[in-house]
Amino acid sequence: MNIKEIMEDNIEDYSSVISDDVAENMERMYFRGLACHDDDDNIQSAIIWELRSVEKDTDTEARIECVYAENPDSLGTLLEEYHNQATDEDVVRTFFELTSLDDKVGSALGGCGFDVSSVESRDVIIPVSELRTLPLMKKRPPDYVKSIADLDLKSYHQGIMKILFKDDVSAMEDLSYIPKTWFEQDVSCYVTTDDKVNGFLLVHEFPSGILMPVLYNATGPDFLKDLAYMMIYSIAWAAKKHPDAKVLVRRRNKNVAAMVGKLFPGKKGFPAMAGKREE
Amino acid sequence: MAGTAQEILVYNRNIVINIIALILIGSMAIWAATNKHRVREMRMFMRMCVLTAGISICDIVYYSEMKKLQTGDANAAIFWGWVLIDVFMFLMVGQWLLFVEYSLHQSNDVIKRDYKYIMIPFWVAVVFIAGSYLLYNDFVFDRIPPEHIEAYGLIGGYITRALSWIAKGIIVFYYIFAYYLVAKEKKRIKIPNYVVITPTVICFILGMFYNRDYLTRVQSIFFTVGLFLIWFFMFRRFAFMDPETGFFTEKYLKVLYDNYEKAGENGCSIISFTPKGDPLKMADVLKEWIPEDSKTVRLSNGKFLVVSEALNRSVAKRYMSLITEQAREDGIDVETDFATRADEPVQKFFEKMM
Repeated sequence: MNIKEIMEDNIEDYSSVISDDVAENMERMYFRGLACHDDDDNIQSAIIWELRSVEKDTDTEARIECVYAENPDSLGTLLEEYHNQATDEDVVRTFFELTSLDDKVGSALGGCGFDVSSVESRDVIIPVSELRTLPLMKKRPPDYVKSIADLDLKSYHQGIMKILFKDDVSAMEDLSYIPKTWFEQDVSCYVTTDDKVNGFLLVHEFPSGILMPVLYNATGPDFLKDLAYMMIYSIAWAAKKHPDAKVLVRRRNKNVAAMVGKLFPGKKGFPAMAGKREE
Repeated sequence: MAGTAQEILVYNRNIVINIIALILIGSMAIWAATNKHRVREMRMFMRMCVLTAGISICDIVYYSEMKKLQTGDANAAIFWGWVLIDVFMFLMVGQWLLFVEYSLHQSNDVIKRDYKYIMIPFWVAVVFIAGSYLLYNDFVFDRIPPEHIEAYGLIGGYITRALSWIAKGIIVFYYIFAYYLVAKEKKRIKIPNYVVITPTVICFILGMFYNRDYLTRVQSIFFTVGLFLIWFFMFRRFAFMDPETGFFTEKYLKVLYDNYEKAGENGCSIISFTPKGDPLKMADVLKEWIPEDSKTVRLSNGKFLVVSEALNRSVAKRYMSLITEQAREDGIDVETDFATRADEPVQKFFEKMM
């Protein structure tokens, strides 16, 4: 068996085992990948992970985004190499939450030192058609809410940096490095106050067509109103451009979970397998 | 004769009080007009000066009408004089509320968006005043049967008094709302902003409700004192600000030390920019990038410090690189530095970055 590094240049070679939705992240700063090949160069197992809290004062962690295992032995070999690479990058612990994991792979991960359990996924899927029925959709957003398609790069970066000065506002650690084109240009929107960008609702469209809000934040005295207007604007555009699409909302902290609970009471995530391991 | 002399004295006292008020108002208006910085705040302050002057002038001009109350020879014109003073007070306090809002957030758009209905009560009052005047002038009075004149005048008096109390009620609501704004801002941003309103509110309330007697009206002087206090606290706030850039000066650092010491947290990051070139150009670049809730300080050695709550290192790096890039496009080379406070005294941490 031999271990190969998965990178942006060779990710296409793994298209049969790694979904496009995960694969597109290989161009991002903190995504890493490893694959285990047999002597005939067939892919036996693969793993993609994202580093978290890399340049913060808290422990660096790794979140596994995708695991593929043709056979459990190869996964063990792969995870040993993963451990070496992770510790080189000061990763203290590794965790995962995956809805697509089968029991065989879950057991294999348990055998490799992960503390595995069944959980409700933190991701909630909501059809765009259901979003359109929200009570707040009766209001019209003002003209200072606009699509990011209209926004020049300098103003985009200025707005992003202003918001990132607040901690833990984005689902993406490397947001300040992500190009504007990563986001759906019409559904993603921003607000301005005194000609300066002070709020964003950035939505990424995965290759599979799923929409995922990545940044939803505003600053200034009217931030609550601005947040509501941006949501109305984005939903309206999503309904126009992607009427049959689904939106993936990641309940990554208490605030987001509370908002989802309020807007969509009773909405639950899919069953998933979660695990954790100290490195 | 003595009665007449007393009347003259009282009459002159009213004039003197209001002339003193007008001189004070005029001085403050000249200061505001000649101040080239914080233009929007100065314009708002000038409007308040004009409105307070209006209260004084109304006091003087309508004294003769008010005097008629004593001789029992008052006519319907007297009450619209009082109402005009109420309108000036109403406008003055409305303008003051906008001034408080602007002092807190420095945002024209917030005022345009959140206060677009602030003038509606005023226009309703203007229509009513105009209507009252049309109803109660001599042309109308000459056509009312004599037996109904008293009732007609009484009803008019009640209606305009009611209007006056409604205006006062709206004014009191403005005071409460101003307190709400200041409290909300204090909760949102932990560092003091020196917008002080209580002494001004006390003066305005005294101006609205205190009247020694009908012949010695002191409303204008209370409003003038209130205006002076607005000027005083504004002046004190500006002492912390660099007039060329609008950033804070080194004097404000003491405020930051005290604030972070009291908070007792480590949560404080500083990014420093040392330009090799025109510092005012550097300031213009920085103004485009200042994050919400952070404070930018201009030091006497040419450095600029951006002080914020504890910041992620990768965000700080990216911020510094974007600003450096833009500064370079404008022909300025910049040295940057970044640190987050860790278990050291606040002042020592700041001095390390200065």
